[in-house]
Amino acid sequence: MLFNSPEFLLFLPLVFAGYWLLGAHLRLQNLFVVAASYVFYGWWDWRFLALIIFTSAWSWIFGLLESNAEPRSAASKARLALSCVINLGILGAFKYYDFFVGQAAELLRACGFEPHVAFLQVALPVGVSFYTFQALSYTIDVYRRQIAPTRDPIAFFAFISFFPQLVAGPIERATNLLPQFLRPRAFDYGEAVLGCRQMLWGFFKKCVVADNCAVAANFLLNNASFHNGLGTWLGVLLFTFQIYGDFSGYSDIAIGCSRLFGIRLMRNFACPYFARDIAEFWRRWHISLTTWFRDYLYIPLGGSRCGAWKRVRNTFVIFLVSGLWHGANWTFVAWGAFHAALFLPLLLGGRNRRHLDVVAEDRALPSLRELGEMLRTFFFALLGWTLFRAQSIGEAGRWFRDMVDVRTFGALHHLPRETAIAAITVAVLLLVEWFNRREAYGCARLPRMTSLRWGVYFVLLWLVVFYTPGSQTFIYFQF
Amino acid sequence: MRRFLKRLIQFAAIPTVIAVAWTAFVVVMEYRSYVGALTLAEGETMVVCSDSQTKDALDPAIIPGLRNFSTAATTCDQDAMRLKDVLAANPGKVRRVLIDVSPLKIGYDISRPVSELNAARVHTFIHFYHFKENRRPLGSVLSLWRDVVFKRKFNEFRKSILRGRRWQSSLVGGFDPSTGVGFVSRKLRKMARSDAADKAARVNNRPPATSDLPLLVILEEQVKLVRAAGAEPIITTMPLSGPLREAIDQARLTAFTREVEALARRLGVVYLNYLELDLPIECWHDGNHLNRDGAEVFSKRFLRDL
Repeated sequence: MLFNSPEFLLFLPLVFAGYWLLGAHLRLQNLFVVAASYVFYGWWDWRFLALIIFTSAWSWIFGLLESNAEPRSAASKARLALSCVINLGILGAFKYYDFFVGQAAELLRACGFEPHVAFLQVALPVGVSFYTFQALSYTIDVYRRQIAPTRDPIAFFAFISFFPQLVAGPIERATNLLPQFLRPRAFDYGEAVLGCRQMLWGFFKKCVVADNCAVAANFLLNNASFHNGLGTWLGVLLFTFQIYGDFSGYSDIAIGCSRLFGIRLMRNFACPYFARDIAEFWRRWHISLTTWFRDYLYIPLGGSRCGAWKRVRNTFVIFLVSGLWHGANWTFVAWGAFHAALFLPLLLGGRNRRHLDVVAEDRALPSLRELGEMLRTFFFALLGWTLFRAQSIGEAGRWFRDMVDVRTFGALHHLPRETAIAAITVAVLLLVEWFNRREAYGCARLPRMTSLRWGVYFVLLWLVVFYTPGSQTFIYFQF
Repeated sequence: MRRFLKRLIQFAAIPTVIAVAWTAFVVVMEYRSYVGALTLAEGETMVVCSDSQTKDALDPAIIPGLRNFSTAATTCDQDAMRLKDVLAANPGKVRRVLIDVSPLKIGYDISRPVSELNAARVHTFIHFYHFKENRRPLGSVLSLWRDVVFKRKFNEFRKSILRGRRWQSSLVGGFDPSTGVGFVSRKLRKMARSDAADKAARVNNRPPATSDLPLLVILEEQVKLVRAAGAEPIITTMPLSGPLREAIDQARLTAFTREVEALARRLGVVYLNYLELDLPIECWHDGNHLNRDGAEVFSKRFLRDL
């Protein structure tokens, strides 16, 4: 089920009512969350429910076995390894098997062999990368004794399958989310109101900004007759805002929706396009995945507290794996390598933690230097999105060639009307986010006067209802 | 919780009231203007409701008393519904109704007879296929509401009825001797070629013609409808360009003609069949649409036969 589908309009109030009616019975309430989450997930394809149930069950059993084991004993390590193999094996089979087998077969053919390969050719289960990583985080945290394993299977299943963040994150940590399912929750008026507001802002970002950008970007990038330099630049620029609106919009809806149920999820985006260097960009973009890789991959590899060569290796590993996490395609790997190449000079020069504060924290406008830094970082991010958006390295190469060859620049005719809507709404988005850059989300700060505040809500609602160019799916569902 | 729900209801009440009031206003106004668009002017006594082929072929300036309500890209049941609306909007005024039946329409999905369709309904029939194809009633209702109230598709439809002839003077009519397919300009030449090929393929790929074609069911319904309104039905089939006629399986065309003729005989209706009419190549601007000159030639011929 999609957040922007009409079915969700019925689903959410029903689940909200059922959830709080069961407020006095914690286990029943958690059971209800599991059932609702499975309906939410199974709406897309109920057969893949088996996968999520298996992942949840295995991780829970691992926790139980670990609770009586000696910390970091050989048996414990073996169980952890097995758990990682199982979880990553599922991910690998569904997401990467066909890709790597296909690539290997190509290589063998190039060497003169004639391999007989069998492809799985199965659909990628929605959100498999997200809930697999969530289950892995529990497994590793239990192994490290950072969290006590839970004996309550219902709470654990609710933690893995909690519907707002099930299919596209934020990738929650057991240390944050699981305890919330183990204690009674009380309805909080303020939280619910803020949740609704954040959801509305998320819908605006997804349905109005991202979807209009998507129509225009697809028109420019998929239409061969528009492959001139200017069209490619505009298409990539629109995609840059499409992916931000799409994914951060989803995160806002998920976080806001959770607040309605008295659950706090971690922040996933913090105005990444206002970052002053690429290191800051990665502290602000898809925070839950970045911190996941930092805690469970980068630091165990030695992090940045090692020799120069190891730091280079670790940086490339984390960025390449992060790229590959997004999909089985060389374009994602290239995207990761591109960002690693941008990040390395900062890391090796000790400048990767220069910007830990909010830009222009005590001022309304940035300085010229800050503006220049922000534009430069945005430009690099945009180049990265060109690789990310392309279907193949060859296509990305063609786009880059068009973008630098001024001879291919030509007038753009017959742009869809969504281009103008996208341009206006992107400007609104940037403006609102700039003035709320210290807050947890875009429109967190609103006028105190009820009529003005409600006016903002109505305008957002009106835009969401009337300026959505048809239902588009979320980009990150495919990951 | 109670406070939250109260606030939520208060919040929802305002846009809901506005939306309901605005919807009611738009629907009433649109309905009125739709009926206005269908109302015949003084002296108009003959109507035709069909597709672009008919719209281009019959020139009301040459055929006195004719009002051509045809619009592009319609199916038989859509034509029938519009006819029903025209008759309802002009009680007692319509004397003759031309019911166009085309072999090209065999390829369209026309699975519902007229009697099942409600008359006001232009909204419904614009979106009828949307409902059927998507099987998502809730989504369709919302998009229907959005299209009608906000995007004013209803309004577009009404405009298309009022726009009159479809000919575009900027387009230069002609025929491509190398392929035998008509074209309107260099830009549209490619489109015209594939258009004729698609149309022929659509007809040729259908199952063999049988007497229970939905097309004929709808045709019979239309004849009854016209007679019930006190008007005289005349069944017609518009001409096809030579290349398109040749591209269509001859057995199908023969079967089609035989079926329609039999039906017309059974119902006692005049059938003016121009399927075999050979119009010069200069009369076409593509495989099955006449250009301005072609319409003049054909309308004169049609008037004489009438």
